[in-house]
Amino acid sequence: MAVAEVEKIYLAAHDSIRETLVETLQKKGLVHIVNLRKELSETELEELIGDFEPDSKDVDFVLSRVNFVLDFLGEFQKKEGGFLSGMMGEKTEVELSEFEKIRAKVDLEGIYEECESLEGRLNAIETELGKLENVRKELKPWMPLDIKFIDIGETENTIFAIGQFPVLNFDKAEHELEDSVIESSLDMINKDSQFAYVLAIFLKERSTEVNQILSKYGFQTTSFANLDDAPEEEVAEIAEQIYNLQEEKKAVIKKAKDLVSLKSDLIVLKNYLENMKNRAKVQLNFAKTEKAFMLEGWVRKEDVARFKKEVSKLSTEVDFTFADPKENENPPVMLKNNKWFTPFEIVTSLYGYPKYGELDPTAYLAPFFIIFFGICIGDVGYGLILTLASLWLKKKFRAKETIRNFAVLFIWGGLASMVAGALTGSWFTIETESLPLVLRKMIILEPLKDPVTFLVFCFLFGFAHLLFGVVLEMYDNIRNGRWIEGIFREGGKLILLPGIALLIVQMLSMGKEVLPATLLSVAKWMSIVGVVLIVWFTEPNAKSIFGRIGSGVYGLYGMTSFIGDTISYSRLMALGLATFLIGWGINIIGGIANDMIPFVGFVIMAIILVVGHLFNLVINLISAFVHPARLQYVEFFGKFFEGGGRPFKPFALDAKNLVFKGPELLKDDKLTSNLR
Amino acid sequence: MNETLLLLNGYQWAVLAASLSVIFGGIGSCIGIASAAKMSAGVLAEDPDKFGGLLVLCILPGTQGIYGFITGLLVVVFFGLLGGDGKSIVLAQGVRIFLGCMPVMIMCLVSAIFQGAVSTAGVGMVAKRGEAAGQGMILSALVETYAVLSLVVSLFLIMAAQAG
Amino acid sequence: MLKALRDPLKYGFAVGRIRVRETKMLGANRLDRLIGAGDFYDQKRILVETDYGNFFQEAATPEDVEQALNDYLAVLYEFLEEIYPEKKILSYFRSRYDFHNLKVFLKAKYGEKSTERIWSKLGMLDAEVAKERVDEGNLDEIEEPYASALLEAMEKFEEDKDSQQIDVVLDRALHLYLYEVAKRQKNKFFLGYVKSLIDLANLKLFMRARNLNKEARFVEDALLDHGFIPKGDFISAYYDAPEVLIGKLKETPYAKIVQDSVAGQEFDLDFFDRKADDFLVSFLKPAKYIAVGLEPLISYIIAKENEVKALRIILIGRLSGVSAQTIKERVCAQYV
Repeated sequence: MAVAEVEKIYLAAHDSIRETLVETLQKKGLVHIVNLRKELSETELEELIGDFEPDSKDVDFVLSRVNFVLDFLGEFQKKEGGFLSGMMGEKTEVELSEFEKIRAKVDLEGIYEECESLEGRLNAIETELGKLENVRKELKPWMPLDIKFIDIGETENTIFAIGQFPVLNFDKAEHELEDSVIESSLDMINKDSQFAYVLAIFLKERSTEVNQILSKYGFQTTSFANLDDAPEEEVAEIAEQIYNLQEEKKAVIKKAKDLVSLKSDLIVLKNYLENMKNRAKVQLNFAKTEKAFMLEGWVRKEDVARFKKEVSKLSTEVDFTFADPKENENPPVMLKNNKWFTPFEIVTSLYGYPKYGELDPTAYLAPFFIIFFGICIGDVGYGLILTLASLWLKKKFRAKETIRNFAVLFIWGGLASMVAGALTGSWFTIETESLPLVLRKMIILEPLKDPVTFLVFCFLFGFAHLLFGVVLEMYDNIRNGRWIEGIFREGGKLILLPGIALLIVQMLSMGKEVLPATLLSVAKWMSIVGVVLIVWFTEPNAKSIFGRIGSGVYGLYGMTSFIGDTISYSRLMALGLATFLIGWGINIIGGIANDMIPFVGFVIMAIILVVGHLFNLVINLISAFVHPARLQYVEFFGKFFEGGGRPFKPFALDAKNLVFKGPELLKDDKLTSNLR
Repeated sequence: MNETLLLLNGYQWAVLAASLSVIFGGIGSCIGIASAAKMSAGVLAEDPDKFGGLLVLCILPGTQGIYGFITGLLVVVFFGLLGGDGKSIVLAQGVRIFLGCMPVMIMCLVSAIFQGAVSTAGVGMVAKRGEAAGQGMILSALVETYAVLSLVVSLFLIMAAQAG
Repeated sequence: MLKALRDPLKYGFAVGRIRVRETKMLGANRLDRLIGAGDFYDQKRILVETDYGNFFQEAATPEDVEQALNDYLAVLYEFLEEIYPEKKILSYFRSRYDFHNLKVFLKAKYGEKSTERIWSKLGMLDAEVAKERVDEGNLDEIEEPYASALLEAMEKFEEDKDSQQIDVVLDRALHLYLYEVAKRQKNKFFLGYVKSLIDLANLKLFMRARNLNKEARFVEDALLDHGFIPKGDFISAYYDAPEVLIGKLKETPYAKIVQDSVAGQEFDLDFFDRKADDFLVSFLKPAKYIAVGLEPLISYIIAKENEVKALRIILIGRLSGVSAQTIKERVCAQYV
């Protein structure tokens, strides 16, 4: 319910323990490291920065090999886990002790070389296959030719030539050749829509003449270098070669597929190497002299003792000092809530972290968020599906903090939807009239029959939400010692707002007496007192009385925003109705399908209902998250919350595909969850 | 019963209202989603891991189409356009239905397009910083408010037209 | 409104892709590390983290670096050509290399030694073929706008045998072409960029001519059209003190740059170049805040080109033993 307190730490130590210290820091994950070089860069200590680049070239080199192998093997792996896992990025659990031994465990050298040779072989096969296929395609039209290629060309007196004409020119060429050169023949071997494939035989001595005629009609000589036999035999031989190559390809692919089982180890290795790299990278933040180095960072107050213990275990040549955050510093922020509210931290962090020392709004937004979410979905059936699906997600992705939190959020949301659905008579958006009597008895409000009441309900929720925001501001002010503003200004708002609200209700009811007269006069007086308090206490420290009243009037003007803010909650009604109406539309369409289509109508109806309702749920789920969140951020936070803190991100083991387990690690998984 | 305004009788005005609500909401959403999705495709081509956040940003401008659909559906069901009842809508009522649908027609069209523009900008943000998806979503939802308000008012106006 | 409807659909995909790529650019931080790195080998190690890595694996000499950077640019242009909806935009960038190459070829043809590099792969013309044709004087086979520019340059050269004419004519043709490409895009930002480019080129021309005491007629011939500053302003101020020109530029962002470049009786052209680069970088800044459209695409290419430029200075500087301090001064002006 608050922000964790942190302390600043400066640590200086002998250079010989740098690597070990960094390793400890990474494993324990307690310190949020600050770029000390940057901080020193504009001070007289600039020379301490040093320009050393931590050495990570071995790691880079190995990592590039691992990436190559993973890329290569990735092509041979069947997609696993499907769409959902792909989208969520599943993580596997690994013992830390195993993680550290991974480099020795994997024979990377061997795997790399094997993969490289396999890849080389595959590429060579592909190229060869491409070549053969090409020749085969070119040979295809020549199949009927029963002369060996080796015989094509010149003999002593005659010339055998093969080539192609545009198909339309063939007749003309044949006639002309027949007419002018008798000792020649032009045989069409084959033709397709474009070309005629011909064999031309003529006497050597008439070749100039013949060539002239042939080229006039667009004859293009074809030649098959390296081929000797007749086309049919050549094609058969090529087919055999192709077959052999494909067999070899299959064998190579099988070998590659056998290697795929190593992938999980390689992924661990990759994550390991990346962590090694992080170790080198984090040192870019350190200041350094010839023999010593220094780092600056933040540690949670509760971790200080642990930190001291861990570090002094390493060496005696470490010197550190702790300090409370100074006024002008902006320490990193870690939210601290009990386990019921932790999942709601995602809602807060989407907006941004509170400033250090500010109120953490998480616990306060949680109940309203859930209620609003419930109103937006507002259906028992949908709520049930959502709850069950989220329970499943939570179990399946228990290793992944964000997804687990979202799942918990949606479990609560689903339950709230079921309540809202029961109270408004929405069961899978079935028309109220056709519900069993028991269910109808639970209804307190039918949104479609009485939308105005529904709207008023939403406004009431919203109004309460806004007032709660003012109360929090009051609390925050008092907590920080600004008790005059807290009690009188915020108190003034709390008196004014209900008073004005009652007056507005009276105004809108157009002369009808909906409120008793005494209540009205109370409301009148509340408003007056509220106005006075707000005007006088908005700026109690103003220099002049005019300034004080001026800013007071301005503060009063600011109160008008409450009207717009309250109206904004009408979205709850619209979204709730939207869910119901779309679902209702789906039911109608399903019903029509059942009535109009003979025999299979029932099946089609079932398909329409299942797909339609799922679609409706997913679409409204997004709205039901985004809009209540917006109501928190814009309407609610606007009343008390400033934000602008940066998250506490300790330097720690951090793996994209893994979750670590092990006795050496912290039990507090919140520290690690804050990483991403 | 056969009075007309601009050549349309009451029944036809009601049909026109339902159709245009769906059409304009749909057009707006198509444009809005298309702009965001086109840019998301570019981002995904470079960085497929961002699919989840981008999907939500792309879907957001789709709500207006749904609001249009709801409005159209309400007119169809409330005034019996499916059965024969619709034929008895008098001119005055038909025109009231049409005017009642106007907030949704215009606001859904316009707000979906602009919401698409904001979503597109959000996609750009996500491309740079993956964690900005939530903020982009909220910014985009700010625009949607006015479509929601138009839906609320149109609902009331249609119900009022039904009441007589 | 129409732009808001059209731009995301037209440019969205390309902008999406470059937005991700922008996050992978070197950035001031890495450039600092590169400048501070111990030797070329260390620099290469830093580059391995980036998409430059592959290009530098074998590099060892300044020539290799040059080659690697050119290869990098060639791949970059190819990528951009693939994703940009308007191929014409790239002809804007690539034609510069063509005009540059043609200058070198023409001068070689007329027996002038040129030390300048040739970017054979980066232009749109095949450099070797173009060289042959220029040598043969066979201009029919060369595309526009190059052919007519070459023709004019050759005529001019035949007239007064002054190789400077080749530069003048081809520069003018290039800028005219750039202007036309930009104009066709009907994009205010792009056109403004080209016009500023022309202004800066004119200013530089003016200053150099003053430094060399050229005649006003020469300047009149060489000045480029289509800048924001009318040509007449330059010509009328040519024989006056620098203050006159600065007075005329009062309303423009150039006044300060020119003012600062005055060094005694002359202008400091190196300084002006650096300031001009700074100005162009600042001109591109607003494009960062445009979510989608032509602007981010244009500014991405230019930013990438600047990055390559900076990298060239850093890497070659280090290989030829220039001190980190000097490199930093030269790079900062262009980059940070």
